[in-house]
Amino acid sequence: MKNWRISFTRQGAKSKIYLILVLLVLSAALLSICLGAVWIEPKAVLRVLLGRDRSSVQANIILLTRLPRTCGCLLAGMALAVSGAVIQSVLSNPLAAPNIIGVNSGAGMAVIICTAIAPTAVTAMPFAAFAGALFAVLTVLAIAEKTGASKMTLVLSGVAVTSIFSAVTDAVITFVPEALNGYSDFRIGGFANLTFAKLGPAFWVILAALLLVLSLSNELDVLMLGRETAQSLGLRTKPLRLILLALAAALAGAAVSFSGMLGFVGLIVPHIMRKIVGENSLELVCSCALGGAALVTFCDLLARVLFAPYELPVGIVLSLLGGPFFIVLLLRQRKGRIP
Amino acid sequence: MIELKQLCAGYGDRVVLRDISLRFEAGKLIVLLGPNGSGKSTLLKTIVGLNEKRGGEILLDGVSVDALSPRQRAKRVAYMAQKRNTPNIIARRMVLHGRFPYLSYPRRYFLEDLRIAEEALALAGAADVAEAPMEELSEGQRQKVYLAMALAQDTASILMDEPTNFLDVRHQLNLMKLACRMTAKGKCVVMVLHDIRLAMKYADEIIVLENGEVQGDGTPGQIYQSGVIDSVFGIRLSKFETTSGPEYYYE
Repeated sequence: MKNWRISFTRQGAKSKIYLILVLLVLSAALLSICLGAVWIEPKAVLRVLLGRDRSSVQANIILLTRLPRTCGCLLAGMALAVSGAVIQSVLSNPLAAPNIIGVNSGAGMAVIICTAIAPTAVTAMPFAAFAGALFAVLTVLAIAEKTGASKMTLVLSGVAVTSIFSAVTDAVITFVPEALNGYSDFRIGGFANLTFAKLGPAFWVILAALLLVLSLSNELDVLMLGRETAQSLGLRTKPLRLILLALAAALAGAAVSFSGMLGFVGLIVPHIMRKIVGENSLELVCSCALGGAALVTFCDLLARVLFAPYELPVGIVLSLLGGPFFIVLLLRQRKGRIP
Repeated sequence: MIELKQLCAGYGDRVVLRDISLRFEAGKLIVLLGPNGSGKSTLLKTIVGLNEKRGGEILLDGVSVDALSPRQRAKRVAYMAQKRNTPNIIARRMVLHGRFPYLSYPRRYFLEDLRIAEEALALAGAADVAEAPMEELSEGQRQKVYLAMALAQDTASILMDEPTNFLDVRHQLNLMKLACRMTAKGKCVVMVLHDIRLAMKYADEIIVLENGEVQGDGTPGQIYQSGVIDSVFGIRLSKFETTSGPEYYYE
């Protein structure tokens, strides 16, 4: 009985962590809507969100500019962080993340090709991004399966895959210069000029993929025990790995389709959450979703206020945070502190 | 009970096991001995389905593995792999994973699963570390938790691939005693070992493999008498009597 009591105490601590994460997300979202060229009172924001004010200037600013942007931040952060957590778990590699192993650049390449072929097909973007991301993730998986790749080999193959996708992207831009419109913003990643029309299709893809990942959390737990143990417990590891990586690609691809190639969210958030809540997949996925949403929204806020009235693309802030984080992880791995 | 009939297995073009016919009875501790590359681990992996068999038949409790789904197979035989990941979860959660073959969608644990996991933890002597994160446990404690997970799988047979690796002498002896307790409860325990003295002391039956073929099969006494260990390993195994039974040493 003593053990169960301890268990409840730890459960209590985890509830507090979730509460803090929810509060972080809510405060980030509220600040993201209130802050900008014009400060809007939280009360006014609530009035607009509750539908009591639809015609004032403030309502227009919120509904047409700030709300889509905030929703985009929350959605992209959520999707990229969960995608990173899934990829790291499936590949048993703490250094794997959508941008490190080339998933983001695969999605970016597909988006550029889609823009070159059908510039007005906004609804097709998330699906094209998904296809590109899936292609990238399957390429990396094939390398891992073929070579029994070590953690570092996987990262290096990600570098190679990324450079191939970048070359294809550059080639498309060379032949179809119109596809370049907005590409530099897309490459860095940002949420300026985001609309609900652009966000809509990605929202449904992310929602569906997130629910499927949650429904497979127990399988993911067993998969993390290692291939041999998982198979001996009756798990069909090969199809499951493919399904989970396809879901991770859908999450990252859909996010990239409207946010551009945001880096490091899928690396930073899962790492921090693993330390805080452990590796129980259900808890890890939920905390990553909340943590990712909060991180990207706060970074976007930072990007907006740091050099106001000028605005930095949020991708720059995330890279400035994520780059050093990645270097620290590499150094820790060299010291053998990352298994 | 596990029955192998003319089993052949291998990797790629390489044949590792040739015409293996064996019976692993319930209530026995069976130890597989043999030099590196003799096919001991491959034999366990083939039984549990991690490696495809090339020919012959494997029967688990009288049923051919070809007629069993992976989950049905996992309800009949548990496997402690040599290489495992250690996720950052608490030991109790780890042991509960042993109930995975019994879970149907949406994979929620019932009170029965929790009860079985608690019993497994107690039997494996790991109840005191149930709430500890796996990462914080010593190798010996982890091994007990993995064993508890195999016990929670509630199978008639348990296969262990070199379970004494990385364990100090005290933990090695504890593990062997634990395996004996499991056989006393009617389980069939099949273990790959490199320590000949441990095998001779604790095993009910020893099977000696070399180049994928069975060179000897019998009780420790019979194996000693046959001299098969001497010829397979190129050593001289000797025996002396003590008050607690025969002990073996080699040079």
